[in-house]
Amino acid sequence: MKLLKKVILYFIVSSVFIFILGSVSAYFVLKTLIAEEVDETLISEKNRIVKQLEQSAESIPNWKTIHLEVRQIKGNFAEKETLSDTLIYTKDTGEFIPLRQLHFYTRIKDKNYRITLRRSLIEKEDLVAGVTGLMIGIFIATILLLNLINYRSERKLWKPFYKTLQSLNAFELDSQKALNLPSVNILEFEQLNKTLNALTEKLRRDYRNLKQFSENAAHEMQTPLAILRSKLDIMIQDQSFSDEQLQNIRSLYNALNRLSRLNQSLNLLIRIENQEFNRKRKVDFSELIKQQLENLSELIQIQRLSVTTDLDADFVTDFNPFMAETLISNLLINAIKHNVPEGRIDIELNARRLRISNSGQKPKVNPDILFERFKKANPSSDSPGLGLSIVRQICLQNGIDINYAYVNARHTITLYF
Amino acid sequence: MNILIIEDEKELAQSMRHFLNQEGYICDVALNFEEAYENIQLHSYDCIVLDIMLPDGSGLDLLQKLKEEHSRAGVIIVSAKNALDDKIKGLNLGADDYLTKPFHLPELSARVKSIIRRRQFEGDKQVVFREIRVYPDEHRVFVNGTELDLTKKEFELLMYLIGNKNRALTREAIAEHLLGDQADMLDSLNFIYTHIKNLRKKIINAGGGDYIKTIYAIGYKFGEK
Repeated sequence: MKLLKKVILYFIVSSVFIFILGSVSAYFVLKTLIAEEVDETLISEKNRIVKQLEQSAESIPNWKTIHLEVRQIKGNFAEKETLSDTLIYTKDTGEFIPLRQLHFYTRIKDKNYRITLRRSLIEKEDLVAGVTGLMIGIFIATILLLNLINYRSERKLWKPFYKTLQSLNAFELDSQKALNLPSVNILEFEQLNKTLNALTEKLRRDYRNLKQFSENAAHEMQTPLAILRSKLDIMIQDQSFSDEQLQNIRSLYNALNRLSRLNQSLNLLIRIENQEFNRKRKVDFSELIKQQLENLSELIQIQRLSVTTDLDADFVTDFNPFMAETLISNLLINAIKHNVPEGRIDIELNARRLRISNSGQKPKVNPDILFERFKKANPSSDSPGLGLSIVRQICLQNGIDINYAYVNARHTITLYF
Repeated sequence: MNILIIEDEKELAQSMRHFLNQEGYICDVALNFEEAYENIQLHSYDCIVLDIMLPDGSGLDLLQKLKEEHSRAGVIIVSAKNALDDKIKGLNLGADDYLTKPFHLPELSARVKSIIRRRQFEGDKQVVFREIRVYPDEHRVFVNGTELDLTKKEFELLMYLIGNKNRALTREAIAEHLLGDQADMLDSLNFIYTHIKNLRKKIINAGGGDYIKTIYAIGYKFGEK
């Protein structure tokens, strides 16, 4: 839900309460005011009536209407005048109407009179209806106006915010461009942009440093590895070693090989991540697959694997040749490595996808993590477990979706172009 | 045969010199650009092993100078930076081969041998080891005059073994020679074992000697008994 809509919703909910409260108080205030007004009218009326009665010479007859009652009374009368509310039934409309009445006693020409003056009060219902109607009117008008203002100002006011959002969406940590959000004249957004600029700049710097570091580390490691290997190569030429010493040299050699393999794979991963291979050319994948199968044919023969291919020769796409080669080679080697003797490899290629499926043991680890670094199907193997991460990294950089499934004792990796 | 090793890492340069000396090559070592340039001016080499990253210059510039002077030396670029660009640049500038650190010394030796052989006169383009005669360009092998039917990898294996005769060779070095980078990713021992076995059988069947010896824990050695 948009922030603005949410704000309006809160506003509406709270204004409903405010309006109800306001209406109730308005009702009582108005009622009191009206009653006071009527009381004042009654008092001034009384004075007028009394004057009129005094001036009339004849005796005053008893009189009875809704608004005025005059009755001659015998005996004494109370001095006090009383104000009260009353309801009187009227035949004309057939309903009770609320009235305010003033009883008072007066003595005119030695005769005592009890006089009642009445003024109708505005009916409660009318008042309630009036107040409610008014309030609802104001309420609706306010909401409409608010919405209108919001709608009008939203585009203008929130424009910098949406711009910031857009820039953030397009922002890539490893891109050459800084975020560079512009300065705006709304304080909050200005602060937001400033903070984001600083934050992303720091992120970019840290990322660059880290990348630089891993790049340098992998690179610098190659020379000492080369020295170690060359010294071992010379050492094993010596024929005077005992079997035990040779065994130790073998262990050294194995460890060195693991290390240099690891280093090479990491190096490759880093360089793919650094987008060192972004020069693209037309790559004929079916030709590439045939070539790689040819290269690997003897390894395939040793395991007595049978390979079937269904390759669309017309499928040519823009790809970095080195990455394409690494991708295919890693996938095929993977299919050979995790196969069983006399197993199968089936390769299917068309414009939509590349699918390589091979027979093999059920993976011992969760397939979801197979593409992660240093995760391998067989934890005891010497391989660094980077082959599929390299595949994934290449796919990631070329916008290829990758999927792995183990069905019917077959590993199937599908790349969707 | 004279070889110039241009490598700023002293230890590595010495290893290379030691190994190539044993092959009968005469080696000079240059530890920087200046030394290397001086050596090139003064001597004539058959092969130059060239590190691209030198403290005082780029190996690629040296390569360019060599080519401008129409040097007859074959050049093997050796670089820690297995950047594709460097490789392409180097080969475009006229380098004959490219090797990535860390490499196996027998691999370097095999490549040096191959370059030198390629630069020799036409008629000499055959390699002979006792009764085994190899024509590298035609991929043909004869044992006592009988042609062997070898697969591509078996042929490469034989060339490598002859090129490194009397050397202890690790299974890994052999695998890397035969499979390149792919050797890293596969369990290559089985592969090497099978190929050695087949090659040995084919040579013996053609009346050749059993020249492939197994070295405990290490690998193999090709040579006379």
